[in-house]
Amino acid sequence: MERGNGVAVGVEAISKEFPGHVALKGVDLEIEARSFTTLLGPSGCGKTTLLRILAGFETATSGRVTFDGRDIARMPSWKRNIGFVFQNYALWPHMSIRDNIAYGLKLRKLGKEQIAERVTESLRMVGLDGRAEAFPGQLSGGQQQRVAIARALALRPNVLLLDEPLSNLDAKMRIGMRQELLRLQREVGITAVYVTHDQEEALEMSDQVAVMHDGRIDQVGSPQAIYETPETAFVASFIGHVTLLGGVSDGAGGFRSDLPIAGALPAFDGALPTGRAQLVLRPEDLDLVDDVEHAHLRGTLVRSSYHGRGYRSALRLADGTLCEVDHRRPVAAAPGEEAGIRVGAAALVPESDDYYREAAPEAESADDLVAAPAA
Amino acid sequence: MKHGRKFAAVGIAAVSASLVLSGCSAIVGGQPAGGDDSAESGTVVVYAAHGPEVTDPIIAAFEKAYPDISVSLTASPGTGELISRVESEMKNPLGDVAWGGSSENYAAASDGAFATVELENDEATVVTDPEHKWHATDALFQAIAVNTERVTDASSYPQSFEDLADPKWREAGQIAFANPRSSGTSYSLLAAMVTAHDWDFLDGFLPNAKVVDGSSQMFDGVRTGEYALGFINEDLGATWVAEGAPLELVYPSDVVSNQIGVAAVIEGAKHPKAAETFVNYLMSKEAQQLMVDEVGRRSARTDVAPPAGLPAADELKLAAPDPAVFATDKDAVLTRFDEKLASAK
Amino acid sequence: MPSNDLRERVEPLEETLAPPAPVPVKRRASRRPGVWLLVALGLLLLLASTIVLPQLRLVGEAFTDDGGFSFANFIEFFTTPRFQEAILNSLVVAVVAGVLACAVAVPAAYVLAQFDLPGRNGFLTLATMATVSPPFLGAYAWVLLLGRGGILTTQLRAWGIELPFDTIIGPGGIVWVTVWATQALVFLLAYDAFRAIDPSLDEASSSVGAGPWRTRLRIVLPMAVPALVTGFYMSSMKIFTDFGTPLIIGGGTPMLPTAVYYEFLSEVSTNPAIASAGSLVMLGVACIALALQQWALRRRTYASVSSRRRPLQPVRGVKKGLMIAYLGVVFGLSFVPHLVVVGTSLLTWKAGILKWIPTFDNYVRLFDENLEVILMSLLLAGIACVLCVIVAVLVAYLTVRRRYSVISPALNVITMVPYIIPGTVLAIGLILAFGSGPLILTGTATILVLAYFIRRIPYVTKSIEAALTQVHPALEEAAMSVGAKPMRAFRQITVPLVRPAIVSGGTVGFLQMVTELSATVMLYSVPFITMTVVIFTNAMQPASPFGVASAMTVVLMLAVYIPLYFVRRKFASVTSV
Repeated sequence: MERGNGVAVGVEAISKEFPGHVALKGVDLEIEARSFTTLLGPSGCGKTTLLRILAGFETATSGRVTFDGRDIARMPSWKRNIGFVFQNYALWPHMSIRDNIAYGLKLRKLGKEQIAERVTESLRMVGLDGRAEAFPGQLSGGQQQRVAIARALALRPNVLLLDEPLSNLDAKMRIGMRQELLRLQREVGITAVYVTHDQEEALEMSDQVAVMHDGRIDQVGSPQAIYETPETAFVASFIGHVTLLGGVSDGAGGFRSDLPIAGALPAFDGALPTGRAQLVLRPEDLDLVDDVEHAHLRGTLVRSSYHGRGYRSALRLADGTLCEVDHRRPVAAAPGEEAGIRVGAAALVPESDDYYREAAPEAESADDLVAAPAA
Repeated sequence: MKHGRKFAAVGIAAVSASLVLSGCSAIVGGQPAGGDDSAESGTVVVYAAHGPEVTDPIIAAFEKAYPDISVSLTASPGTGELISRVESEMKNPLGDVAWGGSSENYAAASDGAFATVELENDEATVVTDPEHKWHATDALFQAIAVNTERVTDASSYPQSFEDLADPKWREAGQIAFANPRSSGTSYSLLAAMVTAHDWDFLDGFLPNAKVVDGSSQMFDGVRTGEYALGFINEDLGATWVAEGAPLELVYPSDVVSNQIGVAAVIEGAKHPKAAETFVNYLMSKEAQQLMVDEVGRRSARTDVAPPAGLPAADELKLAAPDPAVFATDKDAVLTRFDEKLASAK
Repeated sequence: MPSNDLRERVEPLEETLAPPAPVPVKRRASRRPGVWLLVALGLLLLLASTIVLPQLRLVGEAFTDDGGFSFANFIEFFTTPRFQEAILNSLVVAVVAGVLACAVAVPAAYVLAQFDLPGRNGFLTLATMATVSPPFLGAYAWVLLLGRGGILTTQLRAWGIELPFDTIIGPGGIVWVTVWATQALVFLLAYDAFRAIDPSLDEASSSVGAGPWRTRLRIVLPMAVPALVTGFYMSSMKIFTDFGTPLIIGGGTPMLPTAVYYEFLSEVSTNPAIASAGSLVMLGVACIALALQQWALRRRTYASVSSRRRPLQPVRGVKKGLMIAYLGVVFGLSFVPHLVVVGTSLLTWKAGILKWIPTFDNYVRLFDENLEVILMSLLLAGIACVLCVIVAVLVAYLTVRRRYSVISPALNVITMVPYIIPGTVLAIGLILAFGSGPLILTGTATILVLAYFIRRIPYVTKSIEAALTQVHPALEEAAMSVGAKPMRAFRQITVPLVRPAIVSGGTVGFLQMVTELSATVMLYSVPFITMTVVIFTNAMQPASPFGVASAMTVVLMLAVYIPLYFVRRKFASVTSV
């Protein structure tokens, strides 16, 4: 298959209203040609709606969708030259695997031989050579999903849109398919937009992750950026286990926690304006120390369990927050006794989950937020 | 692709078949007036409220007498449906002749449903329509039918309407009486009984009666013994008796209800001349003799004797209800009947 | 992708670089109009002109009194004692018949769905066959057997056995005939429902300690409620709108269809205004019943995603015998009319009286005169059926998938209208609409085709609609994503997927068209004579040659059951609409 027919996809100020609710509230996103972008978020966040707008199954209430800079918002899906992989595979049960894959090729008026060639090639790519004459009902879930991918790729589309394609597979197959999908995408050189609620999947596969929340994109960035420097409390808490501690940012990279922290914290990436903020602590960035006096934080041990490469313990902090800590050495303290926490790295995010929204031009200034009755 | 083509092909086939059919029908059913119509040849479309036992022998004889006229017969469920059909087709009549039903039905039809035609044989019939729309083809009297398996004592057979009001019939069994709203026969019976007696007669009669829908149910009900007594068209009753049905026919001594069976040429008929020939033939001595011999029904002609076994008309006290009451305001009559029926329960 | 195509569709957008949506450029969130909107409008036009327009007279007459708009006809209708009585009788009979049909059919369906009984396929075939009963002669058959002077009644009396009733004629007879004529419909619905219940549900029930009867009543029966509701609705509506059965076996019991019919078509005195008001009242009742059915279904849609086939429980001994006997009785009684018709077609009739002399004369006479009638019936019904299926598929698709705000509900309602209009009334409307004016159809075969099409469109549409809701929209979207235009996706993906429903809905529609009588007798003209017309004209008068009518009925049943058999063989479960 020749490479590189992927296009750059632009999403500009897309809103979508359904009767009774607003699914998308002005979303912007730039997707590089031939990249792998994931729309990540909990159910109901609007990620699937956005994908369906890219596919042309839904029409945006307002805003633009561009492929290589050309507005296609009004173009019907059958002219967009996309590939779409459905969560439930959506293979046509009355057609053989060959006919499923050949259907779109026939619509493109390809010659018989060319069609046969492409069907064989696509099936080989997904490792299903020899199953062309089977019917979808005769295949396992994983095989069906490969056929669905082959069906989409056989057309050499400009964009491959995938709607939680792995969620119906069992855990082991899901992990295997991730790499396979990625390999296919790289091999074909196609732009892929992938919808999932599974953060592991998003981090592992993506060039770019857009975390969506309540009809908006909270943060767009590389998996590392999303993980290590979350910009909102939502992004921080959606990706991995975190403990959030409230406090005030001084605007110069410093942070004063509501809960007394002994000693200096490591420096944070980026700076927040002065105002209420939250400290993001990930278990793997923390360590448990018996020496309570030299710890950043102290808490009561609630439980501790061994999970192969180390331990994970939960501590109840003074303000009642439960804080999870990963550590290599066994803990000396027994449940109910006090232990100390050392912070190896941390990130700082604006406190309000709604900060992003309120930071829009007409919103209150950050100074007003400080005045809010806090601690 | 494959499916798509099939889908379209079936649709096209359906539509074209439909067109072909309507094309055919235009040739058969929609000949222009006068195109092949004459008194001696062509087609005549007959709407009949008679069953094959009446239509078959007479039409066969007609086609023998007029070999160049072919009869196309369309049967209607009943006289009501027949007249409704003629009326609803008034803007574009498809039938030529309506045959079957009583003179009252035809007289009550919409203006413009039936053509005004004077026919040669009109004079020979017992009664002639002053407006020359309907033409008498038969005469029908109703007798009391007794099911001899239900009423075993011959001496107790009712001899008159009066006897039917006897309270003993309330126990001995029910008298089948078709609802005069749905049955023209029953309406005549009602008219006859309240003319011969009065409306209060119903206070004695209706408690003994079982009101059923439609005259067929009344006739069949007595024959099968569903009801002990009832009324029956004499021709049918005589046929059934001859076939061994457990029936005894009694002509009421106080009054005998009767109708004139008629036919008419439909106004605007596509084949008016053939239609006139056909209706005139129905009144001919030959056809009337067939009506008597094959159907067992009384002729409407004065010069044809009644079927064997039926009493002569002048031996019976024939009802002659006042048309001013019973023909003009049927609604009032039926409402009064409903009231009597409700109070009888 | 041809790029000129693209450019055509690019519209200049002023505020492309606006920040997150302060003032969004409003664009109509329209579903693309295109072909489907045109199809919808075309269908609306077609159905409005063939269904609504001819029946407008009905509405006009119902609301007119002394030349002006008025409710007077409705007031008169509701205050006249005979109509009051008829409404009450009809409602009671409909409900009782519906309940009894369910009571008879549900245990039978359960037994066959749950236990491993011999002859399962036989019973299922019988059930499908029983959904089509001999037109017109069914009620006669029961009177012939169980009337006061009936064959069975007399025979039993001769043996000293007294039946608990004098005669079958009366309201009880209406219910009796209806129950046996409609139970098969309920049976098939309930059977499919029972088979579809996930076996783990009853296992779950017994695992928490419920006994088998408790499980049946609390778990299995409720799961079959949607089928019961639909079955009840169809049985009760069938008798609520049936004219022939109460006429023949009602013994004068006032019923709504007969009362309304005679107001339209009595040979004595008609009142079309009251009759129209009465028809609209029936339409109203039917609409309410439909709404109740839909409401009851909406509250109970169980998505039973069964991964396992329901196993059949072994049963033996007396229990097995009783079960088979019960099934035998249920289906035996349903086929009594059929058997009586076969029997009487082989006996001599004289002047409408049955003689116990075996003969083939009835068939000889039939084939002498009426052979082409069989072909004509099949041809007319076949054409009407194809049209009906095409329109039904389109309408069902438009109402299920493309919910155009006004057009789709309008289509849905219009297709349901014929459900309630008596065939005769429908026929008169057609004659008035197409008997003159720009399009003259009276006297043609087209008007019969049109009448069949109209009478059956509600049933076929509903059955295809039901199947369409089972097809996931993603299958069609998948086709569009690979480049199929909406119409192509519909034709090549959606239609093939609902093909079983199309075949079964079309088959049942065809069977009912072949057996249609009430509109046919008003509309037919030579040479377009159908089998039902022949049956009817040979049975219309008390002295008619019933044997010929019976023989024609037998031929009709064969013409109906043979295709049914092949369709059933091809599509394992042809459930009725």
